[in-house]
Amino acid sequence: MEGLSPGLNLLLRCRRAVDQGKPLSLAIKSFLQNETGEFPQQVFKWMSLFEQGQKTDPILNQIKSSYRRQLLEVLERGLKREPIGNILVLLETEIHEACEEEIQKKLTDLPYQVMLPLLLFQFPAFLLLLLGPFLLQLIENMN
Amino acid sequence: MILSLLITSFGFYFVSRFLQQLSQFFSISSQKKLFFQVTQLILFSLIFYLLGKRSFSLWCVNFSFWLIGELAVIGVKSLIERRLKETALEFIDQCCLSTSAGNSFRSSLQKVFFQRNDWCAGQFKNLVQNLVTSNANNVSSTGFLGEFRQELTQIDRSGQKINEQLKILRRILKIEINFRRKSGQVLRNLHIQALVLSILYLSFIFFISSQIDLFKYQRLFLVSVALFLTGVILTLLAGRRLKWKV
Repeated sequence: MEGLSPGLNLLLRCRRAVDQGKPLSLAIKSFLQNETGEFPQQVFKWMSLFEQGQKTDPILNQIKSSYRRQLLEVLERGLKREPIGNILVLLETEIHEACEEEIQKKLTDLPYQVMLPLLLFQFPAFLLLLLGPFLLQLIENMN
Repeated sequence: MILSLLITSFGFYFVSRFLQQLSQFFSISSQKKLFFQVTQLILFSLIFYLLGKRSFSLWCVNFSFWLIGELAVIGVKSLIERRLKETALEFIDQCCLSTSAGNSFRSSLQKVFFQRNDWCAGQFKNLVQNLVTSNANNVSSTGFLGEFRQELTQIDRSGQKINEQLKILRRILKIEINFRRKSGQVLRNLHIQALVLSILYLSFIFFISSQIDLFKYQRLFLVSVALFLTGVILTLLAGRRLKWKV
């Protein structure tokens, strides 16, 4: 999770390309070259379908994040030469806020997630070392 | 003898691969590269000479090289990349200031990048030098340095709205650094917990072994260690499972 969200990463690259007046496809290709993971693979398939002139809906439907789906829909319009500069600015704000919220949520949930291995494994490991020998000794003496 | 030589060559290969991977993230001068290679050669000759007849020890030493190398690449890569990005941001800030004051892009780059003399600045100097002397293609760097070189070259070639382009680059870098710091906080908490508990557990083992004879309770000890390691692995796995959903 360290670093930028893949969706935000793609958006920033595309926004930069639009600001500099460069083709959107170059920004998408640079994203595909530099990033790895599930989303870049989906983008690759989406891009291939688009370049072949086919419908991209099957790929878009596979994407769970509504932000990423929305972004690809906007980019598709951009690739069809529609002006998307302003939409990208708005989308960036939305995705930025969503990312901030996700980090906050993860930070809040983390103590509970970490509690499980701590309570189920590490705490018993300490107890076993601390009390185990004495309990065994006690049982032996009682017998 | 042949087996020992083979094991040593494996170790040599692992260390070479480690150095090769590191050189992809930041530039190393050819003199330093030569120095590292010679040191590596001497080190492995020494290891072969000392442990050549003890295959198991040789395996252990070479396995440790592999393990340390693999772990170090991950740690060093993220550390170096973070420092390089922060330094790049500082440089771009100064470049923006200099171009706003009416200086040309190239003279701003030269002025800004050659002011500092620390290690991070040194990584950028070669890059900027080549850009200024129009030999940008001669620099072979990948990762962040490679991308940064591409960005600077593009800005330099475009020749217009340099200040605005620099500001866009600065904004993106700032967002990236900010998110890296925040998301890194999530993982850092996990790693710190695993580390603190491991240190506590080890000190606990030392304390208990000083009080009682642990060999008498071998099974108990092994079950405890297995439980603790499972806990540590699950904690670290929880960190690996964290993925961006947005």
